[in-house]
Amino acid sequence: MNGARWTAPVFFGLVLALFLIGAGLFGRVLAEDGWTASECVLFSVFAALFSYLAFGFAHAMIGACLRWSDRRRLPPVVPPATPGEPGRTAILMPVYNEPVERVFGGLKATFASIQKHEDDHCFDLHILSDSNRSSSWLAEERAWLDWVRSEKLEGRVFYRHRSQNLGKKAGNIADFCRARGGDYDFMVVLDADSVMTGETIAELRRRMMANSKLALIQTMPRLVGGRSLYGRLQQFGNRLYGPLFMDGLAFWQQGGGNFWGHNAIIRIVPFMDECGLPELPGPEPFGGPILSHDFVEAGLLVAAGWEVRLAPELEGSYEEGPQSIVDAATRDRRWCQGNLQHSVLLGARGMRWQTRLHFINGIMGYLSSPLWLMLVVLGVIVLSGTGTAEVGSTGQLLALTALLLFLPKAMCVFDLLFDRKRRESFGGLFKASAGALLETLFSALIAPINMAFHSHFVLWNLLGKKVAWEAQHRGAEGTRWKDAWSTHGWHAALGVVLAVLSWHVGGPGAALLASPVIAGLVFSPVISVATSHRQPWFDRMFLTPEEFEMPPEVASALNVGEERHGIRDDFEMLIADPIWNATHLALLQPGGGQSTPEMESYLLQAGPGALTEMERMAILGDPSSLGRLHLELWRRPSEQLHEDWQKMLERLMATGDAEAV
Amino acid sequence: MAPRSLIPEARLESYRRLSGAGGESLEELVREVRARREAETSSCGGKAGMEPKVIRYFWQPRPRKVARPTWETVALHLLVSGLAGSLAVIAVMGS
Repeated sequence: MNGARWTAPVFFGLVLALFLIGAGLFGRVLAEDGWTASECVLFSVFAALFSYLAFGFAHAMIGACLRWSDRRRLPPVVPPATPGEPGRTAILMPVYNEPVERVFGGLKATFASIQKHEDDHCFDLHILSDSNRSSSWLAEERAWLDWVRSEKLEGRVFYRHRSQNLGKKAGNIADFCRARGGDYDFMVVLDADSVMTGETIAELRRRMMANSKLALIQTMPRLVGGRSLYGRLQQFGNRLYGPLFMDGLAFWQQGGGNFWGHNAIIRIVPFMDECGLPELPGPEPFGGPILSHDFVEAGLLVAAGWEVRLAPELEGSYEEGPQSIVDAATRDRRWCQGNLQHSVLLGARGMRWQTRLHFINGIMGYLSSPLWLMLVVLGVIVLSGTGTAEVGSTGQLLALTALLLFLPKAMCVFDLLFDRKRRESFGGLFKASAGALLETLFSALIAPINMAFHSHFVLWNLLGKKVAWEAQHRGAEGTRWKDAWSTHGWHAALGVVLAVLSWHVGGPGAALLASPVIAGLVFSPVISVATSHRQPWFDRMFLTPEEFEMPPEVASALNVGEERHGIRDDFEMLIADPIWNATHLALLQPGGGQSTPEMESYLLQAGPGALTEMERMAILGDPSSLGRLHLELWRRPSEQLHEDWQKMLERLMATGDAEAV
Repeated sequence: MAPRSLIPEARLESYRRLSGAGGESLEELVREVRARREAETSSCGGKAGMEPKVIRYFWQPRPRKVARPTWETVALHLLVSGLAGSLAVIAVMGS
């Protein structure tokens, strides 16, 4: 069921060969004057890191071989869908207090693109809200109502709000499956900042219908919407290096693929049969609800004999990335705990080897940082202290490490020679090469900062502590200096300590050896602020195909207006507007809230601004209360109402149409 | 609560325009628009499922299957235990 049996031996044979060469060279360096205990520790840390590096390198190498020998898995030839099989597909957008304008911008773009497709009638859209702020809830509901009424999409585009967000995003999807899963064959899961083209969604559905063993197809989302230098560096790297690495990944995993939580299509029946997530025993961070549920869901599907595949060749799948180092760290803080939690599942019975490797890869994504820090500190102490480094082996080892780090990037640039259209979409070979060089330089500066962040997250997670730092005040201007110093101050201090330590222990040579790490750390506040802003010097650099020619779906999603801030207006409107009030009542789920008659009376007399957030949520979740308030508002003589209510009714009656208000 | 008769006709007319309903009283209008929205937004077709999976680890024993005994196993059990008992009695008597 997992496809070609020879792909994994080829791939892991290459990883093993590289690992043995690296380990042999490092062993020779250390073994000059016999092995000490600290050298054994250093060797173990090196072995773990070098195998991870070789694993990454093999992805690019295999990907390049496949692409250049024309043996890349071309878009599969898919037979037409079986007649009579409906293939009903639900597009799901789980939301949780997300920016409403951006969410609906993406949704409208995606759905409009689907409506142009011949199979448009097979798709419905479900907005699954877990928002627990009244402002978000009302803004989402109003945006949905305006949209479906203006474009006659009732019965095609649905909105559902959960009163309690049990199980977070996984619980949100599970709740949909229980309530509506029987109506559909497949679901396409999006994220709040996702956009997918109708063509791609229809192709995913077609592939699912053509292969009854397939349970999930994951697309490779292209990063778009980068505004700051950091955002643009990320999307340039994702776009230029992604294809080779993804081809390599698809090569070894075959049908034992992974799920990244969104921009994927899922067959609903096996998902419901196999993917009910258990609560892990023991205290956090390893026990409790499974945080990074997507890897586990894919693992459970594969364990049950289903195929989970990656479709790297499919275009038309997009998402936005973080715009600053601090934004990325905020996201990584969450992902770190989720990935470390997977270590508990490594020994779970029934999981396939591919799934265990996905778990290990995810864990190493974070664990490699403290290992790297250990390698730098121990390396400076051990190698410089003994002064016995064997020059030949050290040089060969450095050359091999540099090769493994930089050759994949060079191969990705070289790959452009084979595809004129792709080359031009990066602004030509010169711009792409210069961009890759600069990106490598920035990556080298940013990597030590990520190392410090991740080491912090890993350590705190292992100690069972919550990682927290002062709330960031980000805006259109990027990271502020004050926030940068409070966030990165200890990174800079760590860099200074490393510089002093390496100089003290091994002299200028050791300090020079550790200088790439030291530079990134010492200048981390400057790097963080500078990359969080748009830098006009680089406007013509780091071009991506989506910047060169922006797909209309992405353009529609990104060109949304500023967020509305009209909570009082929305709350008044919900109580006064006959259509919205009746719609909200029809949508309410039981157990959402309970208000009191005193609260209702106070609301009408003191005005909508008089309630607290908790009281507002209690009323919004209580159908009896909302129904009574609506009737009472229309019944009461104007003079018995607060002036805000009077104005609202006058506005409504004057226009005669709530939509126009 | 304000009596129905006190609700001005202009307000009722506005409500009819806004809601698209055609009732005589405010209560009728509200009932009509709610029934309509209920029908237009109602869900259908659920499916039971999504039971949490039980995760077992390599080092945990597999759950033992307890099978109901068949007549063959009962007969075999009687035969073996009868034979063993007889041998034990013979051994004790012999000693």
